[in-house]
Amino acid sequence: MTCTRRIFLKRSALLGSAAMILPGLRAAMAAPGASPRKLVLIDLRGGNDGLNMVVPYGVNGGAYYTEFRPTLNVASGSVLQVGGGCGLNPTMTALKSQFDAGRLAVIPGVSYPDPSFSHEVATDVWATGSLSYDFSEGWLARSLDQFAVPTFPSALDVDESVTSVLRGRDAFVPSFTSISQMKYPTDSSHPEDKVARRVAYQAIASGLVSGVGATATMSTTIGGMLGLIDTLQSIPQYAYVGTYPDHWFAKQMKMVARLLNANLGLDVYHVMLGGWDTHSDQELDGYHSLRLGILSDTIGAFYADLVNLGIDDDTVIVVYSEFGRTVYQNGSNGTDHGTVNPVFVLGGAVNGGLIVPHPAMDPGALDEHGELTRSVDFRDVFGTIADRWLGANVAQVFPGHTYGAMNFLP
Amino acid sequence: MSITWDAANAAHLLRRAGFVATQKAVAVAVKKGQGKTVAALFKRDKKQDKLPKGGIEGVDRLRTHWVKKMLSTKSPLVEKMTLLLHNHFATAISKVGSTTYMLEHVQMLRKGCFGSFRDLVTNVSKDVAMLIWLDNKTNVDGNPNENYARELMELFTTGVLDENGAPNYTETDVQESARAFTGWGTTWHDDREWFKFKDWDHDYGSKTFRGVTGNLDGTDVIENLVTDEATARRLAMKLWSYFAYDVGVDAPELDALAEAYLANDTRIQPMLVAMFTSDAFYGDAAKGTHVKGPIEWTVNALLLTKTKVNKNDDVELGYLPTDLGQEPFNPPSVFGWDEGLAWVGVGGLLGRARAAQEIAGAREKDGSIQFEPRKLLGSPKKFKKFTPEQTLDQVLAQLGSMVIAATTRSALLAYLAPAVGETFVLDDETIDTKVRGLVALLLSSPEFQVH
Repeated sequence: MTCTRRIFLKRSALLGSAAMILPGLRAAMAAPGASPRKLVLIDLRGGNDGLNMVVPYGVNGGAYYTEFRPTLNVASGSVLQVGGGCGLNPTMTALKSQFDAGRLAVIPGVSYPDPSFSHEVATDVWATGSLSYDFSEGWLARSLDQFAVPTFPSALDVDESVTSVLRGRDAFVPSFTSISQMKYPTDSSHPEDKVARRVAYQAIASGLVSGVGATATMSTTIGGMLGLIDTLQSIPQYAYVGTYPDHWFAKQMKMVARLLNANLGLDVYHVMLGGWDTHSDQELDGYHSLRLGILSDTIGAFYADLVNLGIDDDTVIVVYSEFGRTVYQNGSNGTDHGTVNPVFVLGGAVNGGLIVPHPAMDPGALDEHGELTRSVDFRDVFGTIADRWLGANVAQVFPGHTYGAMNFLP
Repeated sequence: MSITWDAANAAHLLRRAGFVATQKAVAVAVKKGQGKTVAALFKRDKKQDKLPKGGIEGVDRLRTHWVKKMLSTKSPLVEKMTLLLHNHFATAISKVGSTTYMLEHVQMLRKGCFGSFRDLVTNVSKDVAMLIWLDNKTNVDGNPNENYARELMELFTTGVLDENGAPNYTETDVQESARAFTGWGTTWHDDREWFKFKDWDHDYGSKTFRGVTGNLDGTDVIENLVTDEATARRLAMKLWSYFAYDVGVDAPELDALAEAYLANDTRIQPMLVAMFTSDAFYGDAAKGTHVKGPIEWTVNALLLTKTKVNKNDDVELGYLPTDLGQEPFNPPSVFGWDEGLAWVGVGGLLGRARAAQEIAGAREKDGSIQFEPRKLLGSPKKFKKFTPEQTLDQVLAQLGSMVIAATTRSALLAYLAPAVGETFVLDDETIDTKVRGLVALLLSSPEFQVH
């Protein structure tokens, strides 16, 4: 997608308010002597079918669910009850255990006023927190920018480049998807030239870093990247205790666990899992349910590693998607773009449970498009993370939004 | 027109409308003049417009086939436009699953890349790959699937918002358009799918689409959309952002392009001519500001380094851009690839450093590619006496008259400098170590990532 002008809009909303610089994130986020707080965002890109993830059989109008979903419904007897008339997809046993242990907050019906049905717009709204393209940085970037710039990167986008919640950060944000990839290449025929080559590469970058435009941006990235390469070269292997599924998403979460074990100061992560845009054959060979199972099993395994590392109380995991899917299934055994969606928040410090009632399913309660109505604004969910977990000032993270803190975090 | 048609402007046009600007090509273009140079861009290379008989099997062969086409074409603008349209109508083999349909899809874009946008959108709407990709083959009366109808407006034509930020369509328009496209499906014969309009699956009821009511068909929807000014501006924005520099739909630079589109019955070529002959295209905002995408980078690097591509390799070459994050025929989603700085995060830059080494260190005769540093150095008689400065200048000139910062120059000269007490001689050993190293460093330098 070609960039449009909003990418270049500077954050006028923020420059006006003399943003106070808080002490370093690690200091601000942790009680004296405790391990710094960690945050892992899992971004289900493509629009996950939330109705088949948190199935609302018992809510007002829940009986319509099977009518709306004649071939795609999850059998009522199979769902994993979480109260309030809702149950998790039967593949999500790992997350159900977390729910039963009181560590998983299930927040159904999350969206924003007049939600967009476009992937691009909705993804942008959730990433930036702006409903009208007012700023180009991600909300997490705006949260972290309130703290002193760290000497070592504090946030990682587990992706090829920084395009989502962390984009536009003042400090360097690395992006990579595997540690083994993080090596400066050498000419195997001339190992003796290795050092000279790298010295020159670094010198080229340092020469351009104070310039302007794309070459300066790249040079900043190269500088940060070479430092990171040096650090990562010596990070310890980690013996995982969690049982992860065989899937690339699991590999990425394992990498996060290994980086957390190394305790580098890299405490904030954005991880993506795509494949949710199920316009047709959503349940062919159990596709969507299996994907939910991979998500759940991976998080379950990752949590076991957090416990093993003794940082389960210091870590919060958030799972979200840019929109839900249509209440009515379409003619292709799939679902089209919808509105609200559940958000999951998991962690030792989280107050678990079904946080708000699921939106009513009664046809009379649906909106003018025949979609579910919102229970919670996503800016209150992310705002609570920024406020109660990171210690940031929410007024600067979501300017113009009247923030109401939620109680899934103390 | 107030620009001076000099080497700098000619080189700028050749780099953007094609892949590289060699010194020779620039000299020819300067002599020819701006008008004739622009006109020549549209001459098609008939050989390159042909597809291999019997199709191509395997995704690795498919992408290698296209990269080779880009390297050898005499009309690089055709390939650049095909690439742009592939990103615009982003369709991927990940879901389509057939190299035949994907090859036909891209060939349709290639053939229509200068012609009427109406024809292009019509062909796209009947394209088997697209019918699978956005599910319209399962869009039927009484049970519509709105995936294609939505992206047709959001991504392929008007876009969500107009230049003043007002919505170009409503949710109801999406639903009504989906009804209009019911029955645009596929049929199976001769061991494959073909486009077929299935009247039994078509909704012949009355529909209201963007204020027009009637028994509308997909063709009516397409006509309504492609003749809309919002489509003209959005397509203009795509062209301008790709060939010149990033703009929004409200940018005044786009006025002439949008006018050319509307005045020429939605034809793309007049838009391109308007762009390549506008002063702003040659302004400071345009020069040296475009971050090369991985496919562009690959073609650019291979051509400028005069790297030999193995005739017998029909598999490996396509991995170069793929490893850098851009797999031809397989964009990550219907939004295509993020352009610009999104290419050059940590993963992207490190990937380019690796690919630069892969090219600079390609010594094997029977490998997929082979790079010979002497091809850049010129006559041995001369280069035997080169100083580090002369070596650097010679290589820079060969790499499309590449311009580097003074600090980069010092860093590279320090790299080339011989050990204390030794003298710099371009002997076999130095060429194999330092000239290859120099090329690897240049290809991975921030300066080479833009043009």
